[in-house]
Amino acid sequence: MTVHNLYLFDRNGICLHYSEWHRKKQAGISKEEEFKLMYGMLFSMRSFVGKMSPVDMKDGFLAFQTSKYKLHYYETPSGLKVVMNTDLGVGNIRDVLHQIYSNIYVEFVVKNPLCSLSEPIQSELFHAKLDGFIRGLPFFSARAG
Amino acid sequence: MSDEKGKSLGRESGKPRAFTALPEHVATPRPGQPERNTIPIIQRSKIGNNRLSHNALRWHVELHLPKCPELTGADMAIFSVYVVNKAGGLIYQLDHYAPRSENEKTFSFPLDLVLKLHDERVVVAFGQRDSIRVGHAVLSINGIDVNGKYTADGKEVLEYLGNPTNYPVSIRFGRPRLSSNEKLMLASMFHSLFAIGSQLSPELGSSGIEMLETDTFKLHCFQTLTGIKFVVLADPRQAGIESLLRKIYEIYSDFALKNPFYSLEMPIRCELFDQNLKLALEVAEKAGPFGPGS
Repeated sequence: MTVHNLYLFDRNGICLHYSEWHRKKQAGISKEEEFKLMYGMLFSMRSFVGKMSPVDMKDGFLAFQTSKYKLHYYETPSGLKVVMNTDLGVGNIRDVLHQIYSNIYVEFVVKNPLCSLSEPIQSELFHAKLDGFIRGLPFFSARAG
Repeated sequence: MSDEKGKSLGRESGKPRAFTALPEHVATPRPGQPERNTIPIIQRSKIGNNRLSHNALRWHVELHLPKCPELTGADMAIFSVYVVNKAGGLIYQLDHYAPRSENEKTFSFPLDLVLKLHDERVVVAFGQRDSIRVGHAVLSINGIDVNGKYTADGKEVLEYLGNPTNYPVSIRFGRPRLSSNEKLMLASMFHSLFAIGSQLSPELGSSGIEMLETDTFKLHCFQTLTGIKFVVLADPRQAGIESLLRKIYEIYSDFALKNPFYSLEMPIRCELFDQNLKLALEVAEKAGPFGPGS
């Protein structure tokens, strides 16, 4: 059980933060293109799910899984998107993603007067806190895979 | 199909051959057997290829539907099935269960909802109240169904609702049904998203999206070795969908691929495929949230 990587996008599609812990395969395209592809996929996914759903939705798209990994998604009402790729053994971690938003992003980025909210996050404190939080998660194991 | 002499039926003189009698053992229940609903159905198979349309074959099909007194389809349901070919085109679609949330209310002028034209439909843009949500479409006015932006008798909806003399008016709102064009587009969109899911994988050798989870439904997808995708939308608590997908693959290979009039990658128009698929869905639904045998 492990966490592969984490993305943070703002409402306009700018990748505010990306970090990886165990990633065996790169996407084969540059990081910028990968962020744009990821954001585009999530945007289309949300619209797809909205149209396909048989009844009105409250939370919308939650997660998807393939044969090798699971992608978890959480979006705040302000348009901030938290995306985490983990392996398949992980269940519903919506509350974990919510904690990343409220205990780390809000505390160390939003409340920081020097951090601009529409630019990639430069704050070292934020990086350190986020890394510590992820490594402390029960489903994160230090060994890869 | 051929008769005892080995001649191929339906091709002799171009006239359709009709089977008129049902085999005996099917029509009557055997003694000692519980009574079953036997529905004999005589179908004409739809042959997609025009040059063969003069050879109309009539196929006898019956459905034996066992009585299910405790069909609890209300909670667990399989909503729909989509089959996508390897180019991303939709070749089969079935809506098995569509829970519709609709409400009819009477309004007086002025309307406290803001309606606008979106995607050829009149939808609620603002003014969510009671059970009328943003995104719901106008389904009928005063009992007359609405098609797109016109009612069935030709009046333009927004104009009609802007005129105070037409009030009080009774309008039915609900989640808009997907048109077949929209389903085609959504199937192609999923085909691309499936591929992107595999490309963005942080692990080696990942497949595309096999399961997509939302709070109202779960989408399961099975891609065969030939690139055909079977997509099932079901209630999040429904179990046994993996085996259902394999079963649909089996039904596809039995009733579509072995049908000599079916061309690969084309829309599936085989009656036997439809019927067997519906039966398989019912079996899977009855299995409930704990899988078959519960």
